[in-house]
Amino acid sequence: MGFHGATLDVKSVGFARAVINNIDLGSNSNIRTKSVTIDYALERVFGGTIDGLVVDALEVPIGLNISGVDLGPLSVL
Amino acid sequence: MNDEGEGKGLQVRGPIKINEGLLRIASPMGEVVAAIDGDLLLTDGLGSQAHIVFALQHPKARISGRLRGILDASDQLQLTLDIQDAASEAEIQFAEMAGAININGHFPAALNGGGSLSLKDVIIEGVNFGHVDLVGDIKGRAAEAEFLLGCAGTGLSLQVRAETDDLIDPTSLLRLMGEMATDGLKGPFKLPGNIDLVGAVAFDIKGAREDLQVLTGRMQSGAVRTTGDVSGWIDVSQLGINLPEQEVDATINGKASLLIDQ
Repeated sequence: MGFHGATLDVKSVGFARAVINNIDLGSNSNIRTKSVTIDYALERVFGGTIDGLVVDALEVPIGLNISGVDLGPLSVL
Repeated sequence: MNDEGEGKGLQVRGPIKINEGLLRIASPMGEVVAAIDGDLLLTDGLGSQAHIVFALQHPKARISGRLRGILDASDQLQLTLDIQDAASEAEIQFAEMAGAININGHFPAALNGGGSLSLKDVIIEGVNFGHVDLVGDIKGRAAEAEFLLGCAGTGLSLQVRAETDDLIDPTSLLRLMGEMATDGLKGPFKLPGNIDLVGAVAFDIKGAREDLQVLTGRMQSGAVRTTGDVSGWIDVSQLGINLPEQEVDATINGKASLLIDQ
């Protein structure tokens, strides 16, 4: 369970926005993205709600077969 | 993550913007690379909507267009797929495809779909069928489709309605109904010798999809075998056959029943 060898750079974390760059969830997952910008309000984020996302240059592998869509490593989310 | 952007402990309520996304889709037909750009809006109680521009690339095909989707608070889905540019060099080849596909119903269990597509310069197994217009509906795994073909360079025009209860199961029943007309067969459909064929034929044939798909090839090889019964009728109307070398000039009218059993 989880992503072995995952790396990321936290560019900034503020009261309403966080920016994380160069997310790579490890060579086994082949999931990576150049940048994720997360908008939130402190009163909601601790309850598990975020207010918006911008994802730049996301790369995700998925599978398609007779039983439907196989999300691969993303199915653990 | 579920359809509302929720993980086990995290949910998004607001916009999600995807810039220059890349999906690598492993499918039974080979890898398809999908480039996507889009906006999703996930709300609390008001449903969700998505606008996505996509371009799919396969080694032998490409398709691009726009996807608009609305999932309301009662899980009713409305999805519109506008295909703006597509081409294929696969088993079914075509130079251009454009059209729209609509999918709606209760997500995810009871989705219905329908749409219309226009394809240009369609080539199947080396035979040029010219331009093909297709109108179809899908309900669960059942499907109905109507094809209108103007077979370029063959002297043949064809209108076919196809119905099946199960798109995925090759043993399911497929019914083909339609009419074809010719003003003289040419090109890949040219008959041997100097036979001239002019007229119209209506038909209604049903059998397992896997049998109907290979029937023409098996008839040509002279070894007609099927896994189940193939039955139906063929109605010939004013079909003129002219074989000048044999001094034959005949017009055929009539209806024949067809049964191929195992």
